[in-house]
Amino acid sequence: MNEAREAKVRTAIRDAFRRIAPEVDLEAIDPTAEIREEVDLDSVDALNLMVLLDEKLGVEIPESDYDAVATLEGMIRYLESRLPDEA
Amino acid sequence: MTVSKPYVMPSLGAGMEAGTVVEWHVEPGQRVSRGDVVGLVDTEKGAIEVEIWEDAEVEEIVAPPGTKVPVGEPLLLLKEVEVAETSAEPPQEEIMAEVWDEPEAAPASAEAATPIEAATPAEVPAPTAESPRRIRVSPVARKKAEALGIDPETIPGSGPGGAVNLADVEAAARNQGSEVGAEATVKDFHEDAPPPSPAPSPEPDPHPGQDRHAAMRKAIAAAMTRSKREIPHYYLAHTISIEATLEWLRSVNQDRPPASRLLLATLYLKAVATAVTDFPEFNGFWENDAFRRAEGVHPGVAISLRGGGLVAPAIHNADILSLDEITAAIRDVVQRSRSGHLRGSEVTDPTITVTSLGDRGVDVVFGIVYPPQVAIVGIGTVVERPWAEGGMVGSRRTVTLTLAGDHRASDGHRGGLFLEAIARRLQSPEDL
Repeated sequence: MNEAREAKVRTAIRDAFRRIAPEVDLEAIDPTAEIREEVDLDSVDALNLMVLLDEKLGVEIPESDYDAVATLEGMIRYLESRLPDEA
Repeated sequence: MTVSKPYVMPSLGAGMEAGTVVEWHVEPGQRVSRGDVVGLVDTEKGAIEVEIWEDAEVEEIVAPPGTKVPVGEPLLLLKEVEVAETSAEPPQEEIMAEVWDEPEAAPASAEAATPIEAATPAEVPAPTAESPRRIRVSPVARKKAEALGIDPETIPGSGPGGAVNLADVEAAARNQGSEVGAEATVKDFHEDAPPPSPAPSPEPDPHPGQDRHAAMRKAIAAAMTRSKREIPHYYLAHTISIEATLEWLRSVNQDRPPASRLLLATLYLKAVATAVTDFPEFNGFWENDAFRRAEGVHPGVAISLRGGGLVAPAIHNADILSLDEITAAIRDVVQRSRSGHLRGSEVTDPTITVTSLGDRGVDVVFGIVYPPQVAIVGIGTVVERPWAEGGMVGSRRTVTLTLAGDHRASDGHRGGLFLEAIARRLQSPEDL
């Protein structure tokens, strides 16, 4: 169950990065480092990332929670916990 | 009746000499409308979608994928779809011959049309032809065939009515083991240069990896060298508190889903676009020793490319777009600059450039004007600073706005007023 949710989140993140930073290998980056620094995302890329994650997962990340999703690890945890239950 | 005219390789930036056709989204016989993207052309600034600027019908693809075509040379042959009747309609080939021989000339007229034979005075019947039946060969194909030592009338034609076009000649050349390949250029035979060395592969990537990077560096080098050589820059800077603006943006965004949120860059762009309407000497082009005002306000937004280099596509009519529309446009061009393609009109239309360092940069950027534009507005990263106001010192979030102007087109006094006008608008975001 949890594994399925995490896999869904990881797939959504990977698909989103394919659009905004196609050459980035998410497996190769430090999951505890600030993701925008790690892969050099500007503020427009960052907003596009939030939009793509919302589209794919139905999770709206408010600006006030941006600190919680600053790292890849934090982003996975945050999205997994808020993923709507499958109908 | 119908008149044929060429659709030529557009100039997609200062200093561009040629582009390579990557793919066509149209085929002969297809109707196209003004604004349609008809194909993809590879340039030093990456692959760019080219648009058509009239309603027409595609008659022939002159430059098939893989062909490198100089700016101003034909890519497609178009047939006008709504043309007033002319008294004498010359055979179509005659017009083709004329417009192709002089791609930059005014539209073909019947009187001036040159018979196709004139272009090839030494036309001889094909030795294998059993009858003197006239075979249509497009002028470009004929020239190419001559350059390659091939008789074009022995080649099966795939064009309208069995006409032999450039693709047929190149295909025939490949079949004959000639040293022509997909990299062959139209320019080659216009300059009577020998055909290029053997093409490496049937589907070349004209700028793979390092080459792509090198090509973009070369394009930037050419434009920036020209700018520093020709444009007498002056520079102004103005640091302002942006505290109220950021607070306004936060409150607007807090209840919005991600897809509706505004960017700080949106406010910057709208502030510059509306301010410049009162300072038209910063919105336009320096050409032929004179300033030409642009008709619309199309700020180019500078985007750093991943892996190096930059592009500055236009946000068309940003002065009259809403903040939501500008945000959508910025998100769209940034995303397409990452994984997609910019359009020709986006790379050629900017009337002024805005460069913002975003939220992870440094305090101040001094821009270099992108010719033939005459101004670039720079916006540094938001920095918290000690700030004196009303006799008190406090802490404020601030940004430093800069203007690099072309002193041929404007003066520092007006430049200062322009920067101040941008600042005033930025500090009243609810009115933007």
